[in-house]
Amino acid sequence: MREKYPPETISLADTYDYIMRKEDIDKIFGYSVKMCWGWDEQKISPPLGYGNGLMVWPYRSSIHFMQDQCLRTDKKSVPNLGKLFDEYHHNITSKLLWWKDLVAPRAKLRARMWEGFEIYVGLNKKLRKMPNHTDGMILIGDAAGLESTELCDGVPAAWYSAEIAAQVAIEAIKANDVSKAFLKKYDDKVKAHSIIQWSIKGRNRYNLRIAQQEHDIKKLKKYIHQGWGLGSLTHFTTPFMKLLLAYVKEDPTIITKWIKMYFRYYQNWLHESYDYVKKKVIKVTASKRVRKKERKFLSTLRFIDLIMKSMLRIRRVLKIIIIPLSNSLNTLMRKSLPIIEPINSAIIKLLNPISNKLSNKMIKFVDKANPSIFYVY
Amino acid sequence: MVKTFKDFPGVQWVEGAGEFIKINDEKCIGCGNCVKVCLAGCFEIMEKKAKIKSLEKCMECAACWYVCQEEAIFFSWPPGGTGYKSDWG
Ligand SMILES: Cc1cc2nc3c(=O)[nH]c(=O)nc-3n(C[C@H](O)[C@H](O)[C@H](O)COP(=O)(O)OP(=O)(O)OC[C@H]3O[C@@H](n4cnc5c(N)ncnc54)[C@H](O)[C@@H]3O)c2cc1C
Ligand code: SF4
Ligand code: SF4
Repeated sequence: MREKYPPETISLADTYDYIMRKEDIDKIFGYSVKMCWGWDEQKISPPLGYGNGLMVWPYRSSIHFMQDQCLRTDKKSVPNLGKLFDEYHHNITSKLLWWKDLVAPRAKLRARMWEGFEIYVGLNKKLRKMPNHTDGMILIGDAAGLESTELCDGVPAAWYSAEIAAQVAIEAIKANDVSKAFLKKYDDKVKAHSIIQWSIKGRNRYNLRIAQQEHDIKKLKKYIHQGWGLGSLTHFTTPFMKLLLAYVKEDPTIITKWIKMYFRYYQNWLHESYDYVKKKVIKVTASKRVRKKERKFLSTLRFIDLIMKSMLRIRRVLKIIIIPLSNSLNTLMRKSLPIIEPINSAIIKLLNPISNKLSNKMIKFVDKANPSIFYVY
Repeated sequence: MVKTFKDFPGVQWVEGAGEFIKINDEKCIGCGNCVKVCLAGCFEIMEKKAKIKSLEKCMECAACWYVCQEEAIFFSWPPGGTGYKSDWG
């Protein structure tokens, strides 16, 4: 059904798990991920150069250090990965200041593992066009080459494609037709899915190799800005809004469900309650202040639901304003970003003390709230 | 039986995987690509042909299969809960 992917589309993710106290992780990482790119001869990222990188992110009571490198770049020869990864890991842990000074004294190696992932399949037009269905079979997620070329993640696309596959499979069973001709619907829907298509075609992460080859700091900054900074709004906003609208149309309460899920995730993180099998029970505090805040939180969510439901009722608003607006958001962003960006940085600086206070308040609330208010039914 | 190795902490191998990676001698041209990408050192070149030294530290990444342009490597995941496992993601 599909051809074998060429080595330049596959990255080997060499991942180290370092145990670290949660308080240290939160302080150093501030609930986020650290990424790193450099020139190839520095060998701090990526080992042989070009388009791969280093990511360090919190994982339970540890951090995951992932260095990744394509099995071949631009059809050049296959690198000696064993040697390069060792050299690379040594350089990062002994030369990068934030690792040496902040992380190293607090971290202890617990595990090392690696895995191949199909990072750049989507950038190859021919591979992108290969079918993901045949008689009685549908491919989803990684098997269908749907990893995000930009964000290097694959769970969202695996999830979206699984959702489409389930819908098509149910239709096929009902129609008693699992032929290739019927299952083509699946590929058509995947091709029409705004986020999947956006995520398998983004070239910013890939283009870092051009900046690295040319030692061009301006280009490096440009691709980072386009890929993960505000620049991403120029290509991400339309597909995101399209998807959001599709979900809201199906279930107007989806946004508040996502908010609850996000808060629950956060609460689980704060309480180190990860495993569903041996899940730690989060204690409920008896404070009246917390109860009052919970009521406020729930009524805000109810208000959002009400707005979404009433917006859906006014279909004309949807058709005349919201849908055309969402379709042209990328263009709008392209035009307005040069103005928005400096204003945004000024506002962020100005609001920083307030937003820091607000997020600390939010974290305290999530920490103490009754877990049941974040349940989604 | 479950095995572990000092140089790859936090990982266990459940034995009984069978021949989940094989080399076709007739197709192999001894280019050494498989040797270069395998972080577990599973391959070696002997008399201009790749040979499997040992698969006991193999993490089933399939890198060897991807880089073999001669299609000389057969790869499938070890069957029935055998092979590599880790609790750390
Ligand atoms: C190191 C690393 C870090 C990553 N980090 C992120 C991240 O932070 N965020 C993110 O979104 N994505 C991340 N990804 C990508 C993400 O893990 C994958 O894109 C996603 O898991 C793909 O889901 P899937 O269901 O398509 O495939 P998989 O999760 O690979 O599921 C396929 C399943 O099929 C099973 N299987 C294989 N062969 C057989 C067989 N013959 N019979 C029965 N079962 C079989 C496998 O054991 C496996 O369980 C990461 C990937 C790697 C390698
Ligand atoms: S990559 Fe293939 S052809 Fe090259 S040495 Fe290994 S098995 Fe032989
Ligand atoms: S699958 Fe990965 S670890 Fe196993 S032999 Fe091949 S390259 Fe080595």
